[in-house]
Formats: sequence, C-alpha cells, structure tokens
Amino acid sequence: MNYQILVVEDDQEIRELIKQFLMTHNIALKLHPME
Amino acid sequence: MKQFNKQSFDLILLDVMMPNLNGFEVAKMIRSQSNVPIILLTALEEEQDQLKGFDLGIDDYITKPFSFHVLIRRVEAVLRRSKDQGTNNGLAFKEVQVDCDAYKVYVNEVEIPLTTKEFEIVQLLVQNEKKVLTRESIVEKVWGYDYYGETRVIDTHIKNIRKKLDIPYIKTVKGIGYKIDE
Repeated sequence: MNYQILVVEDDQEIRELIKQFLMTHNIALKLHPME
Repeated sequence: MKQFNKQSFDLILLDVMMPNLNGFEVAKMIRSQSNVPIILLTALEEEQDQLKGFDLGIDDYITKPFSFHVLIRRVEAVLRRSKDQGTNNGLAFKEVQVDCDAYKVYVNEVEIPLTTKEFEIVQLLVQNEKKVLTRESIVEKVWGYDYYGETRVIDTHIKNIRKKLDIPYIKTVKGIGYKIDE
C-alpha cells in the first residue's frame, strides 16, 4: 500500500529533510511526501 | 489547503508556526472536512498549545528540535492506527455510510442529500457511535468555538436529518443531547 503524506512545513530545510527521511528510511511503507 | 483539497492524503505533517495561517487554524479547517491523521510539528512546548492541538483533533504532536528517527516512528504508529481502524476517511453505522472526503452520506448505498451542517452532525454521531453527545459539544464541533447562538438549533437539524435518512438510530437523550445507537 502506498501512503500519501502531505508535509506542511514553512522551513524549506526542515521540509526537505523530512521528505528525504520519509523516502529513504521507510521504503517498506512507500511514503510519498508532498509539499 | 489548496493542496489538501486537490487530492486525498493518508497523513498530514503540519507545522504550527507559519507566516500567514497558523497550524492550529489549518488543523481546524482540515478537521471540518476530514478525519485524516494529523501530526503537528512545532517549536511550542507549552502544555496549553499541545492541549489546543488535541482539542482540535490532531493525532500526535512533536516539538522541535525533533529526532527524525522518532518522527518516522510516530508516522508509522499513526498510519498503523489509522489502517487498523480502517478509516480511509469512511465511517459506517449499520446501513449508514459516511464518506468524509466527499461529504456524502449513504443509507443502504443510496446517497441522501444533506446540507453541510446536517452532514457534519451525522459524521460526528457516527464517529462517536453509542456515545451521548451534548448539544454543546455538537455545536462546538460543528459550528466552532465562536458560536454564541442557541444550542437548540441542533434539534431542528436532527429533526431534518431523521426525516431525510429515515433510520431509527438517532436517539434523543433527554436533557442532554443525542447519540447514534441501535
């Protein structure tokens, strides 16, 4: 199952880090963060 | 909100401190339309702010600076709970089905046209099946904290909902409020 996650974060640096972490550390969950 | 309205999400990671609209306001807007899980991200450590978030119906709360590993675990936990509950933004009680994303209610798979407030009351009752909801709590959840009118307004809406849905499950609890029950 694919999960769609909406990341609403004003700080671009944190936003990017969250996205990277979600994508690289949760392959099994297939997270797809979006801004 | 534009992005949120464009497509369906399984989880929202929401920052509280944003320049134009704070995360509490966004959470309130999202909750008025959907039960999608929300995790608040914030630098605010005040208990009052955390309680405010939970009052608005968020699922979890994480304060900055946070560990990304902990964030991931919380995301996993919230998604797992959401999946276990089989939410998918749909609710049901007996033959009543509520599509929280589409704002639609079905009885025996037939769509019943409702006003927005009627929909929100049905959604709230089904979300809290068998629990008695006071008129005040229904007003607070459906109309918001700023509503200063008469709570008896609920009675008219309930009367209309009963007529439209034609089901025997919406019970009056005398002197208190309403519940959905068999």
